Amino acid sequence: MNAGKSTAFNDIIYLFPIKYKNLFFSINEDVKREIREIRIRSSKPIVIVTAKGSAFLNSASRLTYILSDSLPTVSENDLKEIVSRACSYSVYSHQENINRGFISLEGGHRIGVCGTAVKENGKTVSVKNISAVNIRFSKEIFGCADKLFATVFDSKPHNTIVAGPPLSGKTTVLRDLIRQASSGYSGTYYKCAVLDERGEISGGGSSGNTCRLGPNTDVLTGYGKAEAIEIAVRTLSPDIIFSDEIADEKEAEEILNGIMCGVSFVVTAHCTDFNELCERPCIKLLKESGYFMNAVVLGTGENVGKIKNIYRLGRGKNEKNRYYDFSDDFRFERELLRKIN
Amino acid sequence: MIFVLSGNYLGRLIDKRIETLNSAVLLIKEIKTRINYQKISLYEIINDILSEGPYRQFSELKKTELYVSDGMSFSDSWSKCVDESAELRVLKNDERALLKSFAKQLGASDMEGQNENFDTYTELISQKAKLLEKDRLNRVKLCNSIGLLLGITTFILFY
Repeated sequence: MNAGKSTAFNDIIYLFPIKYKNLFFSINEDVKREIREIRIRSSKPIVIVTAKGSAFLNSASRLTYILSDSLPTVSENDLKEIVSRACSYSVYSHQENINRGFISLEGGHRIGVCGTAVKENGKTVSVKNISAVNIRFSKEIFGCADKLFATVFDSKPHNTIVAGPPLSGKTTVLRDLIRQASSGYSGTYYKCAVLDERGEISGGGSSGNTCRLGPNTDVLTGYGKAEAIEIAVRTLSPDIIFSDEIADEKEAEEILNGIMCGVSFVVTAHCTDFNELCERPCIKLLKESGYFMNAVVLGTGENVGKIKNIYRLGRGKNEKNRYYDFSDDFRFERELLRKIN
Repeated sequence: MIFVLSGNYLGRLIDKRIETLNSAVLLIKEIKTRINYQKISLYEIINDILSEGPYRQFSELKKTELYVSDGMSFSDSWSKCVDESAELRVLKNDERALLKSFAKQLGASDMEGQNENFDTYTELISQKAKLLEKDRLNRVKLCNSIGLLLGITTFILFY
């Protein structure tokens, strides 16, 4: 059921030059499964991010919270080598993505790239002196969207916002939701269109989409959101459009245009809580339109991917926002784990 | 006679070196064109090109991808392939070094950087080939002249 973090870790091990391979290979398997990010900075210690937070990798391939001079570091040249390997030594063919700060890997993993932007006429045309990369793992967890599915599809698909801070599992949950909708879990094989600008949801790579999104799903990879919505609505006649990371009002307007064409939308957005979510101009626009039924906020840390709260947005100014607090579920699970251990 | 024969043999060796260097220039130009117009992965381009006839001296370079998958860097893998290639042994060390250093920037930068790399090494290797061409005539002439002189001297001494 669970595709497994260790497999995800093995997906990216080829990125590292030989001298670092053993260091990463030798990490404990249980730790490998918990890794969410690997942050590599030029001439600085390697940082591993898990549910418990950030820790450093020492030369014994163990995680430590103690900063010291003896921690292994990655040189500038090796960092450049990692980026080259990530691009299969074809950096020129990934230049557009690098200019936007990321490289997509097979399996839906993503590398965030930091460096010095080279601008021409106000536009970034290149990135030089890459100083840091952040390798973010993607994973498939079947069943993680069960509760969300029941919320979104109680009688028919409802327009829903799935929100949470970074590393709250929005993309993972969205992925499972798409799979369930497309695979007829509600009794209908919904026609799903996925706006996958960065190839993260579908795991798009040179060998095609590697994540399982169901048999009735079309994926638009690499398109800008506005363009993708137009294409999807006009040519794919979807029942539901799924989109990751709605960012601005222009995208929100396109979504509303799509809704008026009879398409349902499930979108994700960054925020730490519901109030912050509502303050965002693009979300404000969607909320005030009255077309969005639900806003779901996910938990973080040990509750990553779990629904923290569901807010019923409803239609009309007079309808009060009602919310359901699922934080009791976390307490129950913590107590259960304590009993087991 | 021996010197004349040596001169001819030397001439053929130099011809082979020139041919290989010219093929290297064509190879670099072809990689450049494909990268600029196709923007596909470097391995695909290399495998495509090296499957064709004109670049058979460089067929060993197809193993680059194999060595990279074992963990070597691209430039180290390319260098290893150049060293292991029997066809490229005809080149001198400095000429092979040029081919190896070309790979250091190959695929590692944006399009502008790539084109600069291609242009630099196209020019360097072309110049090497031209110098060799000039040198060839002189060396063959020298060998033939020495051979003729020795031949005449031997004839005079013994006859």
